[in-house]
Amino acid sequence: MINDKDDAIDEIFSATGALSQCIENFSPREGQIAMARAIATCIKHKEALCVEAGTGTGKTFAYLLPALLSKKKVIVSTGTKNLQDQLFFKDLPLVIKATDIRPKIALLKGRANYVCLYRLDLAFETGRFNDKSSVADLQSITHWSHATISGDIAEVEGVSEDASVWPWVTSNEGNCLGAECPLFQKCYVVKARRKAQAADLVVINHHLFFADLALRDREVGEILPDADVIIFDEAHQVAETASNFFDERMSSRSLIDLCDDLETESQKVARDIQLNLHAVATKLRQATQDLRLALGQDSRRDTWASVKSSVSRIVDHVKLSLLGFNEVLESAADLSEGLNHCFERSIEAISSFEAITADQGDESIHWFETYPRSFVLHVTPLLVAKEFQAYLDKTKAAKIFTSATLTSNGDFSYFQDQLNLQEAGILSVESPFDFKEQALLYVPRYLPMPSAENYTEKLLEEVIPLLNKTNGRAFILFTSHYALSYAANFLRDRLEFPLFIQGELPKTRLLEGFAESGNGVLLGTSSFWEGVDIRGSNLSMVIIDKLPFASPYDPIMRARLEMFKKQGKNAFFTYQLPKAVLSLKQGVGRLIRDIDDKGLLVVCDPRLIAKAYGETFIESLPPLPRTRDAGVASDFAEEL
Amino acid sequence: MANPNVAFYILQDASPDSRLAFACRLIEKAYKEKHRVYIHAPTKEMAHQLDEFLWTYKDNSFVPHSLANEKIDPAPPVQIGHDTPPTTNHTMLVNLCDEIPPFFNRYRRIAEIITNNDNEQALGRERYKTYRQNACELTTHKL
Repeated sequence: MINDKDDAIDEIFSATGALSQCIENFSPREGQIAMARAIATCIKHKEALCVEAGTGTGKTFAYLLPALLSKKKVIVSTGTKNLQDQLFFKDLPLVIKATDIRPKIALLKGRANYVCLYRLDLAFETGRFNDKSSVADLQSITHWSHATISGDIAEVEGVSEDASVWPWVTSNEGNCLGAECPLFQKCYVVKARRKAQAADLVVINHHLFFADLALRDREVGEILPDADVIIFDEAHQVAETASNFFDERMSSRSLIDLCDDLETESQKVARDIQLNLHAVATKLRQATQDLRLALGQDSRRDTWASVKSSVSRIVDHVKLSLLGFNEVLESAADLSEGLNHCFERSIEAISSFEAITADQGDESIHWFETYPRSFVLHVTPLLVAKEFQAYLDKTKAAKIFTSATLTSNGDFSYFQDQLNLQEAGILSVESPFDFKEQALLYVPRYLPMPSAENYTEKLLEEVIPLLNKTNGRAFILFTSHYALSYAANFLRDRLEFPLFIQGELPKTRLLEGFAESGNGVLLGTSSFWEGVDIRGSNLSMVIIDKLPFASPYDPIMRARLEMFKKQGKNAFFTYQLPKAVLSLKQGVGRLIRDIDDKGLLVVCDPRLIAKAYGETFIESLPPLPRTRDAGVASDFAEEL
Repeated sequence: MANPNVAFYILQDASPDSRLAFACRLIEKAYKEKHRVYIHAPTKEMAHQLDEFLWTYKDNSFVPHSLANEKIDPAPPVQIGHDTPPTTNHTMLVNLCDEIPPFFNRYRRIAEIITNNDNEQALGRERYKTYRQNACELTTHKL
């Protein structure tokens, strides 16, 4: 039905409309307008809507415009901080410019993204850092902190995002002093939250959404304003974020941090008390390290049940150390705010540790992961649909879920089932790109099965000639870290192009370097399958090593597959396959980013052709021309 | 085991591509009827050509297949070979060779595709005779 809103939307998106005045080379896209109209209707009737919008639809504008035109309170939640920044600093100002609406807008991130002035002072006072680069980092941060308005550490220049000082100049739930903080009035987290509360449109991320949800559930406060409209962009990540959020975890890091913080705080108290505090900290640190050793040398992820009996003695020891720590601190807690806070953290640590090491219930998964020098213990909900349902029941907001990848073979049910959105409306908007002209899918012949020992070597031999044809300008996306590091070693002496290898630099710097090089080859795993936007000829080939099935040995995956089996469902078709399809669609989505982009997609896995389920993958991908002929692929690569 | 049923498909078109395109339709149909199909090609080149055809001849078709030498385990329902006899069990043979392969009587069904080309037709008649001498059920479909 045509109404005033639709007219306004049509006008703004038209060839001569307001957007065309603000954006160079703007051209109206049918799909974008259809999406904007559907969202306007959804907002009007306070419904729920899932929209899959193929790459290039312009989905950001398609939801921002109707959201603004509605003049309601809007929350936009996206997957990552980088996407938040892009939305807030690039897209949102453009859309506002195209309307005559001047809403109050706010950007809100998690607390770890804001400098904590109290901890910054503390880091200086205690002289924790004495190496040159850390001192320089601290000075840069301090200098910036005098001038910043937002306190968002993304503004800091010249300090690497993986610098070791960051945890010491930002706060977390555990070490924040809250209203007791002497610098509370200046707190950037508080300021940002107040601004968000007062705004008409707030840009947040999924993690923050669930943090707010949890606070409301416990009735201990709220971060976000009550919204009339909530839009989840990158909605395919919502369930995963929820699962991570509701995951109760305890890391060896958090215990060691507690010990470190106690020692820092204890420097301000009398000598005899200080000695006692040091003693319990040392004991807890030792017990924590013992538990790491007991969990086995190799880094791994496994169920808690698999180690429970073999580590029970050491687990008891950690518990006793925590209790001792807590007991000694109790008598020192009123000496300072910092010590009191350590005391409170120790209470929480005891309860988490007991919950995690207890017997597993039906609705949660107890598991652990180990790294060379640390471990993390987890209790993860088997499904997040329940937690999400509680929210859906309460909220009266219109809810929009959008992403380039929500469906498998045109079917939304995998996505809907994860979040109990079976009742929500659905809309698929096809990409406006002409894949027939812009791309080619190549599946090489004679590769062994992906389980073969020499698989990675064989596929690399296969793609080296193609890399030489495209003169680099390629991503090789791996499904495992093992294959990634194997490939890094293998390719180093065999390629003349600069290699950008995940883990050698932070993600953003790796991508900048790749884009600037003009002939780079980037090797990445899961985090590079998504949210990477390199337009133009700098990225002309995407190579995917295997169909991205999650490992069935992963403790979470194993428990979820088990659950589907118990429910009498086919776990492969209801869960594993659609999950892998969405991942592959994400990976493939890196290649063609613009109407003029061209590129070769190489999916090495022979199962894509030989297995019946290959059809589900093919039907779910954009309509790419296909080949298995090395000559055809090579000719295409030559033209890129 | 009973002797195979052999179907001859006589095409109006003379081009080698039309033969492969028809083979694809035949294979797709057989796959949907749950046949396990082995295609015997005279050369590696033709095996590759058919492999490419099966993968590309229609936008919305999908027939899970592999080249016999790709050694996919477990083997997909459709395999294309050219030199060695197949090691897996199939119910149907599509013969693209001039000669009848020696292992022809392993199958319940055999398909022969003859293009509108004198030489092809002459060779086809020879194969027809041989099948008859081997007491196969024969049918001919003019298309």
